[in-house]
Amino acid sequence: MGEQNAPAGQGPMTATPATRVLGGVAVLATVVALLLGLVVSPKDVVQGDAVRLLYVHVPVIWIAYGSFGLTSLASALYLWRGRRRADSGRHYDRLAGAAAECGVLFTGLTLISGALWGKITWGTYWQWDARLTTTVLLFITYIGYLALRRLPADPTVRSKRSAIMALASFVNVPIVHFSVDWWRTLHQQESFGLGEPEITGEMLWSLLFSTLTMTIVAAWLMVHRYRVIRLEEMLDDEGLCAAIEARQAEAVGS
Amino acid sequence: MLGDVLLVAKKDLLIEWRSRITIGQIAPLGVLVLVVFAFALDANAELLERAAGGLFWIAVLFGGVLVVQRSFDVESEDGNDDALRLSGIEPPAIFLGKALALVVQLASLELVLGAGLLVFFNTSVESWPLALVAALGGTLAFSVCGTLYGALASGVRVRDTLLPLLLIPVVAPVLLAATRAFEAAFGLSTDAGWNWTGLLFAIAAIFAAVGSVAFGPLLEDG
Amino acid sequence: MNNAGSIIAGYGITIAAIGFYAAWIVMRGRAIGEQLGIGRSDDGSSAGEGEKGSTWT
Repeated sequence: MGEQNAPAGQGPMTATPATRVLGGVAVLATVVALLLGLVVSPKDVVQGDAVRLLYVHVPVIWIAYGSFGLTSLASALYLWRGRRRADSGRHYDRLAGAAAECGVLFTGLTLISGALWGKITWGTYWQWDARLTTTVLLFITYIGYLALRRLPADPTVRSKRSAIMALASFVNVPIVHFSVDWWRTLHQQESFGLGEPEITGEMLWSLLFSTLTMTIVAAWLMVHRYRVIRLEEMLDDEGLCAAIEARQAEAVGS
Repeated sequence: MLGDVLLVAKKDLLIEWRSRITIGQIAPLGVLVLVVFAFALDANAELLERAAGGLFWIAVLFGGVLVVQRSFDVESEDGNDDALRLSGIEPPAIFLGKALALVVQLASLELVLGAGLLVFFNTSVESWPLALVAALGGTLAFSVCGTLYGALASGVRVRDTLLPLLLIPVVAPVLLAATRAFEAAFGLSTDAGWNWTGLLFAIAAIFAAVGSVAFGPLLEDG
Repeated sequence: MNNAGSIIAGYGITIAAIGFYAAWIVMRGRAIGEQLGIGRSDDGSSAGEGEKGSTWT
């Protein structure tokens, strides 16, 4: 349906009427979120303006966690339900990939926004506290997952191994979280003390709206990334068909 | 099942014994790593003594990745992986057998590294039981994780760069816990070394389970 | 960099990164779509036809 609506001379696009609406809503929501976060919300009593960065930092990590959770769920479905289907459950695999890429992006943004927030409140971009350390490991874990997804191997092998790694990571992330947390609470030297402020009133609304905005944006990103993955698969399939035809032509011709 | 596990482990260890890769190449490499650490830390005796636990496990990590790679190289050579699949041995047994072989190989590496610590870094061990049990726990945990991720990255040319990238985030808690346990065993900290050791065995158990289940699908079509 | 700078940087990097990613996705979709479109008319095989007419799932 998307292709038939495409204007002549332009290839098929990944848009559909539904996602165009979604995209429009995302842009509007972003503008409102910016207003709320930068203008409407008051300064925090303790942190001052730094709290405005939390309107980015907190939603972004929630979305990342949600994305990785989606990757794990899709991977489980792929392994347990997908492989028995006629179409081999590739849509689960595509969803896992799209969600993971989104998750990696948002985890990276978590680190950046967190570092900038830390610069203001702690005076330093980094400290080895439990949350930051765990987030870095989470980031690298899923970068590894994305690398595995590009394994030069048979697509089924690739999908299967990716799914297994996603589930192994689902087990590993809490282990990392637990050990690092235990480690840092034992070594509580200079506790910078300042956790997050108590958020109420306009600040709470700003935070919630920001989260809603991020969710819409992430949904748009994932839908389109999913579609592009499907296009990539179609391209690979056609490449395979063409190669087979060429081989057959050789055999007949000579 | 236990018989099969031992069978697979014996196969891997026999190959290792005949080629002597771990003893002949990886152990010396481990010693080299310890020496290079001395260069990095400017041979500061106090610093080296304090950091000995962590440096030990980093050296184990370097060598361990190589041992894991070797473990799966022998499978992809000469159609060995097909032979393994056709052998009728249950995938969990194959997984545990390979992990067991890894444990033995890593243990021999750690013996050499341990000697290195005592000599190069002037390590003194206050609690030998803690040190040895922690080393066992860390080795078990590393081996099961290494076998699982070694299989995930096996059989492709990018394996050599992919395996460390995938494995290290997973064994990071193992390194963390093992180092804390060693520091307690060396009398360098008042941490609850036995608690950290418990965590090592817990991680080993969890990934032994995950790997056993995952090896079925992994071995199916390659 | 003062506080205001950090905040602007935080928001700016976030929006820029997401924007670039979104643009990359769309452009990649178009590029592959063109490739598939060209491929379809060249070999004229019916291999791809049925799929192209389907709605995005």
